[in-house]
Amino acid sequence: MNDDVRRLLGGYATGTLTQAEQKELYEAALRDDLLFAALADEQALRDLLADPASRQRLLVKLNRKKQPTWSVPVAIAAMLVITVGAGMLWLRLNPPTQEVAMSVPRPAVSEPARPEAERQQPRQFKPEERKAVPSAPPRIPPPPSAIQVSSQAPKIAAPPAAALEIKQEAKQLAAPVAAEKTADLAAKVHYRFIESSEGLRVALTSTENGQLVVNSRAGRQTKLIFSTAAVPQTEYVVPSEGALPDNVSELIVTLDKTVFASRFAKPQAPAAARSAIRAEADQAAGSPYVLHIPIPKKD
Amino acid sequence: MQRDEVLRLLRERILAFATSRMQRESAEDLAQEVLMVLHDKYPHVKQMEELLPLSLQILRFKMVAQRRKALRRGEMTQASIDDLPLHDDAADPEAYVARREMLERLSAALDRLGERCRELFRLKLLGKTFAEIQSEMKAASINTVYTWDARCRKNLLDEMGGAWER
Repeated sequence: MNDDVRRLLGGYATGTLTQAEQKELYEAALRDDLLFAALADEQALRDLLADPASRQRLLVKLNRKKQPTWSVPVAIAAMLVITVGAGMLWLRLNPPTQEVAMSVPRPAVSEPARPEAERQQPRQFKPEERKAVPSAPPRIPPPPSAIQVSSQAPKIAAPPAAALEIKQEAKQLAAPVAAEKTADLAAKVHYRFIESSEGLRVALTSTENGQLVVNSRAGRQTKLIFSTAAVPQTEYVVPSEGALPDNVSELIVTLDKTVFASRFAKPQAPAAARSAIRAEADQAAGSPYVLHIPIPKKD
Repeated sequence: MQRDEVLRLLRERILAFATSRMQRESAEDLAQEVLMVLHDKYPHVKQMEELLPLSLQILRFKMVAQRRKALRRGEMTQASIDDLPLHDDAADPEAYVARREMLERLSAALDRLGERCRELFRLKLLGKTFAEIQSEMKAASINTVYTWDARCRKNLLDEMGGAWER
């Protein structure tokens, strides 16, 4: 095969050859089997490139500049450098703040924090400041520090004087109750049986005031059958109407001496004070006195 | 060169080429069919510059058709003809897929070529002649462009596995 002619092969499929070049190539191919076979093989490419759509697609691809092989690693490295640089710049502009929780000694409420120079001289209050100070306690500014301090100290509200007085009274009232706790309830509550045609009843008399509560027990079941604020030396008949059921084995009598029955009668005691007294008395007295009265069996 | 002389030479070349790709009897039939098409459908084509590419195109179509026919007859796969679909006059899906696949392979191969070869191929696709390519690429002579093109074609063919078609 003539190499001078063969070099024209590349122009056959793309239609690059001039008429003179075509004539030269074809004449040589008609006499050369190898060149003819090469041309026949080129026909597939020629048919493909004869399609305008395929030709255009290849042209679009070739018009795009080929990326050099080193471009990808360089691009990645550049992105990393930019990212790290931006991060360092951001950190420099926005230094991290360290939050530390620490207890700060609370200054006296009556003395708001003031600068040292200002403390040397007595402060001259303006008239409107004089008016504002007693009604609301001043807000305590945090101590000057380079570190941002998060103080979790709870707010302490000064207890009102009236409440303190009521609490002390409750303690005084509850103290004797606690001392009497061990005493026998039988000495304070007397009982007697009343037998009638309807059945058996019980008469209860308390020597002290308190909440008198009577429960009846039948087997494992307990049932409230009577409750009243007992007045001393007054007899109460249980049950008020009718008689005790036959299956009742005993009565459980309690006298709740948590002082509310007597002390709550104070008309001047407000609701908050009553709650305080009751809580204090309950805590001091503990459980109420209990008296078990066995019910005699009928013959 | 007269048409009959061109047709005689063409028959020799076609027969030699077809013999290298298929059996002798089939190659003779193939050459005869190509010449019959040239004789029957293109009697007005007399110039050698037109006859040769035309014959190459007919030859390719005939070879593809013969392969398809052999497949249909079960000469290679022994598949039943009843299982094959009837002929459709619409665009051949097989040819379409083959063309698309070849385009993909060519596109991928072009990616692996050097910058000069890509530029040369681009100018050829734009319809430039070798003389115009010489001035575009500022080559010393047109022989330089021929040499570049021959090397680039070889590289491209190598990148595609040695043949344009599979």
